Amino acid sequence: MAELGQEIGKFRLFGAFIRLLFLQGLLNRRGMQNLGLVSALSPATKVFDGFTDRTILLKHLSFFNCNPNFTPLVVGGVLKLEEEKRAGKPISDEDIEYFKRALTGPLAAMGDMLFIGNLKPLALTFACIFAIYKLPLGLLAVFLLYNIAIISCRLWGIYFGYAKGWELVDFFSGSEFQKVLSIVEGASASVGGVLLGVLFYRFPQNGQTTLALAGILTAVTLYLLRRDVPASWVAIILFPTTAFIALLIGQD
Amino acid sequence: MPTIVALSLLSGLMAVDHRVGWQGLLAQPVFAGVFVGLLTGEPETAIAVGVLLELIYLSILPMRGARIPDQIAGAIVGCGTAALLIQNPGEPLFVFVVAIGVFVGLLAGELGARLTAPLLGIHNRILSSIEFSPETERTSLTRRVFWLHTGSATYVFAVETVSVLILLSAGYFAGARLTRLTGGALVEGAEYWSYLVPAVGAASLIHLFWQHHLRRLLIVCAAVVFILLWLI
Repeated sequence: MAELGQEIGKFRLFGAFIRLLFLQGLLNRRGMQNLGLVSALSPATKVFDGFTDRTILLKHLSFFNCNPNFTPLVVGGVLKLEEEKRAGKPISDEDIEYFKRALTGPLAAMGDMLFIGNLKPLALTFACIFAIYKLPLGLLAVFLLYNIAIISCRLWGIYFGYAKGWELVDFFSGSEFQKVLSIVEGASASVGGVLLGVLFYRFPQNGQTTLALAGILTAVTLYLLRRDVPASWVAIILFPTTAFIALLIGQD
Repeated sequence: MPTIVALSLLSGLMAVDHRVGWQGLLAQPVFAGVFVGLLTGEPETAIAVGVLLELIYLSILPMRGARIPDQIAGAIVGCGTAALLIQNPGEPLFVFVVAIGVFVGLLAGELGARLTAPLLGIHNRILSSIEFSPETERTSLTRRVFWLHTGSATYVFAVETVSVLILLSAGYFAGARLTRLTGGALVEGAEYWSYLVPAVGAASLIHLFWQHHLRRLLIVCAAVVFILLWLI
């Protein structure tokens, strides 16, 4: 049996990181990522609960929802606090719960903005440009770089969260994240602009009328998107419309 | 038929990456097109469909509980249908087949979301109803969570595979009928649609980045690239 207060160690943290890669698999409406969180905590917490105590896992079954790429930060921080509590520092279960609640909300918002709102569109925009110009190596590079970025962020997150503990709150209260977000936002918008330029350059290749119609269609679609009409529905409805117009022109 | 089964299994793997794993872009239409292309031996057709679907889906972000189409079903059915149709004898027209692929893919995306939503809802309800009593043994708790995880991944794989198997079979059948039945004017209409549909993608891009501080950057970059390409 392990001694109480023993350190978690890098190997067990790595075990938690591996489980966190599949965090979304246990997503549920009631507790959201709570089961995934417990799954990630289980290998690391064995070391200081004497392999038999389940209270540490049971108390983390409460509601938990964060951006999956930033969840390792919270998990690392929670493990650090649990370890410090076992080592005799004046940390209560309420403090740990407060730490979790204080971090998850802001990290969820930051993660969604950074990864879903910007990094993913950036990667996909690059991928579209490479695919249009038939550059398979570019596509492969985007795929690998994006995956490396996501996985290394999660790996960094768990070790950084564990190293910082309470200090995580201060770290994310600063302006550092905003700077990173501004850079990624700028890059995404620039690459988005490049793709837009490429698309509009290619329209006249099918005739000047196509360019004019494409301009009108872009404006109409943009108007509909602002009114929450999905782009997929605009494209679907456009298909029979175009076929009908072609049929009418063909009859003339 | 073996290709359709192989593509359905591929969609199952993509669903595991998208709904269980770390969402490593495997399930995005532009990359799904590459994998479908490699599997069917028609990379050019599959990637062309994948790019068009990606452009249309760009504005749809999985945030704030938005109802989104099943992009995996859309991508596999769209790219798969086009790749299989182009292999048919009688030299089908490339642009027409791509147009059919994109259209079938978009429909499959919408139908797939409605087909899998109740099945994934059952999965969600089961996970939500799980209770752990304070008397639960630690080993039994961790083992139960592990098996829940494995079962969850298997269920997601099975749901997507079966859903795509149905949709791809139907999509290919419909696509094949469409390519045989339509006259010259409708072929022209479908082809013209595929020339125009990137405009929906352009609108998606503008919508995605049309924020106060990014607007100028987007327009300037688009204008510079347009002028440069024009000059070259």
